Amino acid sequence: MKARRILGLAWTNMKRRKFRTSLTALGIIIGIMATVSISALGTGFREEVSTRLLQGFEPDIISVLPASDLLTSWGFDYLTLYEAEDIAEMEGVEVAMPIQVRGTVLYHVDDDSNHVETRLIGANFTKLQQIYGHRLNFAEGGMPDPVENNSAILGFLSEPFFHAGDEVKANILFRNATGGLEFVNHTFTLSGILEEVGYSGAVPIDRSLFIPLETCSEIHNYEWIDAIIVKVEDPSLAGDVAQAIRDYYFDNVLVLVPSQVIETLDGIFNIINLFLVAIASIALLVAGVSILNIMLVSVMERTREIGIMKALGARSRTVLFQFLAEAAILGFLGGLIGIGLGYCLAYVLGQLAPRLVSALGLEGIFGTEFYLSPVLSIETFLFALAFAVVISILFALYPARKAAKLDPVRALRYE
Amino acid sequence: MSSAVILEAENLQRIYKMGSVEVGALRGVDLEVHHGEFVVILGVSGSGKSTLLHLLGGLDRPTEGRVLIEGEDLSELSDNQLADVRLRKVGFVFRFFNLMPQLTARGNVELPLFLADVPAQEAKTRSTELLDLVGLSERRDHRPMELSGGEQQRVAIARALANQPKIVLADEPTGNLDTATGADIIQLLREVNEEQRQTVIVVCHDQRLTSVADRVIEMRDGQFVSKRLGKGGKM
Repeated sequence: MKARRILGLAWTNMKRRKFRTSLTALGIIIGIMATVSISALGTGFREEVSTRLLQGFEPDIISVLPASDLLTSWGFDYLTLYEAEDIAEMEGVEVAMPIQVRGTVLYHVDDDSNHVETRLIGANFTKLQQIYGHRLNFAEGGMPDPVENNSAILGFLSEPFFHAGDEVKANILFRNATGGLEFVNHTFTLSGILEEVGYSGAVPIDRSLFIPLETCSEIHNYEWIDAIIVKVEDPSLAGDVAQAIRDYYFDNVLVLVPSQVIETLDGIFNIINLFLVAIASIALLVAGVSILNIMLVSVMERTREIGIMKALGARSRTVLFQFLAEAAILGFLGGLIGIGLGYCLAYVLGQLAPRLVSALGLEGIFGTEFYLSPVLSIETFLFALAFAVVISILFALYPARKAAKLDPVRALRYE
Repeated sequence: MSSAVILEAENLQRIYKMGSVEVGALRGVDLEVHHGEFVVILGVSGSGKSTLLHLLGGLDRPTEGRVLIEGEDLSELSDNQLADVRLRKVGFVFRFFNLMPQLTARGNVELPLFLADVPAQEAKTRSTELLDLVGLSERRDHRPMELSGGEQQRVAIARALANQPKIVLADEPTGNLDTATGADIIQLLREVNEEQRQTVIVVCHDQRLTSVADRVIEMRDGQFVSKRLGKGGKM
């Protein structure tokens, strides 16, 4: 019997039992919907985060941090100005900017009513401009000229408390020589306020108060460096320079290269995505078992019909194919519907992403406009569809074989 | 008038094992049927007549003995070849019609044609002819549920004739019909036999069929007990 005829017969059979067919398909639909929505959201999330990181991470900026291992923090506790000078001399390095980073609370000098928690970053303003110049735009004022001990520029703040020319008091937390925690107050003059920069890698620019490195060192009498930001002459040199720096420190520091970080993140996302999809496909397995169950009942109910088919001269294989065809149609249609619904579900969840971000207090990382668009590649589409069909056929094999093996005489007598 | 032997059965035996008990449903039957013959095998239920019919049509295999259709020994055939014999050489008509409930009258007649890979257009022409032949021109697109018992049996007869079989095997074709309808079906089978020179073998306990048969065989306890010419005998 020709395949088209077998499919036709299978389709007629399925139409006769619409309710049952829909129920069976529902299992497939839910399974595929879960898998596809998770996969589409996962891919969307990965692309969104990668894009944001790519925007923030400059491919030619490397960060050198104390501690060689991100997880254990083993390695040096701090870096030094001399090391920064050595790095600046390395081949391929354009600028090496040593920085100190502290936490601080900002007040107006004579008005304690408004305050903002920020970071204090001690850095050389010229180097800061050499490295981030193209991203630094002043909303008010500009670079201090000349740079004085109490000069400062302030990154973007959502609270409009401070303006160019304001005198601000910074209440800075530091660790003193005996290891105790201490606050010290220092007054700065704001020469300019920056526009919003967004994610900017190792040096957060928004919400940071930039002061001269020397001032920062003097304030709390501390000469060690917290990080060295290195700009290479060309992005293609980033890997080599990073390795040279690691060698220089005998692997006792952490050197972050944007492209490598993104690669690592991408790998992590892929694993998480795969894991989530694997969990979701358990739903498909359940769908498969329901197909198995319903097909077994169906074979029982249709024993007589199978007997008739055989009496008319149908070979066992024809009967087998007829049942498999029913399963394949079920998987195909259920898969199509499941993919469609899964994409819709992913879209709705993606629209809810900003709420989730704010509920988790992650606006700092993702921003307030973090909408996720689901991404459904043609490969995922075809794979999901094929998966639905294969699962259906796989679980229909046993019932179909059972039907094919029925003895025609007994099957005809079956009431 | 002598014509070719189309069907032979030699020492046919069929023993069913029910647990440790062996039941001999058929205990040594010999039969020769000629082309164009109308043979009626009479017997009460349990006499083994249905078992015999299944064996003759290749729906079951004998425990002992053999069946030959046009000289071809069915016991030497594989399951697939046996299915092909059922498809092309014999046509079954059953007591309970055994139509596919989801298919229309035409769909049921076309089913064996499609099983035989007959092209759609040809199958349509053939099913139209056959449904005309059994007098159901007006009911082609009705499903079994919408047909009377007699009409369903007519569809079944049309279906049995679909692939122009050598032999039509009917198992109590009137057993589930009222007297008048049963008589119509007997008449139809007789017409098919006479007009198409179609060999027909009917097993039943309906005495009326003996009036149209060429030959009547009585069966009891899995064996033939008497053979005689029917009233319509033409041998």
